[in-house]
Amino acid sequence: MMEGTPVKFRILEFLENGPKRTDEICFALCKEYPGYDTDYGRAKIKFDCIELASAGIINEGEAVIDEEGKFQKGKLLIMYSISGLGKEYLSYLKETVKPQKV
Amino acid sequence: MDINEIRALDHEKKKRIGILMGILCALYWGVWYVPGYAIYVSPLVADVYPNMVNAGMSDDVAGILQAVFLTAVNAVACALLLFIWNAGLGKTRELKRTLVQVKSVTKYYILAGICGACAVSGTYIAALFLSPGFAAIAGLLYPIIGTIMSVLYLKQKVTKRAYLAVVVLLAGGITLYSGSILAGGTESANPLLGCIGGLMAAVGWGFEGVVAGKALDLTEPDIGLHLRFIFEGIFWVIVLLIVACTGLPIFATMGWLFDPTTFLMVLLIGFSFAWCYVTWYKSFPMIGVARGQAIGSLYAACGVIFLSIFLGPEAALGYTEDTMMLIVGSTIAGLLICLVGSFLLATENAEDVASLREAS
Repeated sequence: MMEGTPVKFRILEFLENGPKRTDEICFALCKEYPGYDTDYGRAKIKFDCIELASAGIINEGEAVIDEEGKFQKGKLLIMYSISGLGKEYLSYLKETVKPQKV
Repeated sequence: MDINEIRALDHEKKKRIGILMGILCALYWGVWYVPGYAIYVSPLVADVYPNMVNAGMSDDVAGILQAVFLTAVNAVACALLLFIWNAGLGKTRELKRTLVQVKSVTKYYILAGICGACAVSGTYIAALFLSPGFAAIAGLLYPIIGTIMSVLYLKQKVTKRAYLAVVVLLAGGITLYSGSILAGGTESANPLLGCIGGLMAAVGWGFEGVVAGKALDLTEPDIGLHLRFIFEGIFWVIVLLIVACTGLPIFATMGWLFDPTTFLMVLLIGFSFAWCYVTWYKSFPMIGVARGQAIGSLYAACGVIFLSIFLGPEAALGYTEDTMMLIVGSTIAGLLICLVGSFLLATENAEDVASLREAS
């Protein structure tokens, strides 16, 4: 439903079915958005996750260090889950979003 | 380093980015005062006033229309320059994706644009009908509204230390300009209009931060502020077109935009104000509306510093031999108090701002 909408909308929908790790979110969503399938594009999605977590819309869970360099070597790969507030926002978005052709 | 240490470092980094964005906002806002003052005497803006008076308008209305014209030029310049900014960041598609979501988020940016329009024109009106010092103090009151609303409406948590920092920063800003108010008084032909302008500045910016904060929960700051300027620009263009339809020559000075010096001034106000807003909006998701606005209120200190550098301290602070001690003294005292307030925020525990809301 949120395909082709602003990235933060899509992150919320992507987390609806359960917690996901930073690399899972970034590598999956970068394929959906033209121009995002680069290190810079994935970093932008990661920063969106940081902002959403900062706002309390998604929660930070367990983390592991990216030893193998799957995404960003030496940095944390954090498991994100949607918070209560995030669920409220997601239902609000489902009622108000204008679906886009992808 | 173990995972918890890296996580704590990440939280510290996030807080530092937020504080840095707030400080950059204050710096750009302070820098903006220099071309902002200069453009007031350029024919592009200065001639609007006599044109309106010659068209039969009273002094007060002519002054308000001059302020409105300058605010419109400022907003349109910012909106156009931000296209370069977002294109450079590779975010033009995200701008389009966000723009069409009127029901979910864009409506908040329309509201933020109107609140911002009210604030910026208010500050010009306050400066014109009372004094630049009064306008600055009135504008400085916006974090009070922003803080109250961010707690009540956005449900963001604010620590006791952050509350204290907001109060100290406001006290610093007010002290900074109190000397010129006490020395010069606030004599004016229409003090009521000046007070209304001041109120517009404080209420407008306070509410803009909160409305934008709501939309920033779901969108990117670079996109959000660009939308806000696009809507403010459209708002002012409609207002100016309505004014022009009444037969007033409001666009008569537009040709001056082709004058290289005037164009450079418009470019400078556009860049400084746009980047001031870029950093202001970027600070909100990192450290919250209350802290972002409080640190941003350092613009008062930065404005005084930059005006002193470019215009000289006497012209910047507006003192005479008799009032020098009072004005310079209050300015230095204000700057020192602002430093204490910034220190309080900068040294806040990073874990207190790791999440801006209680876990849910």
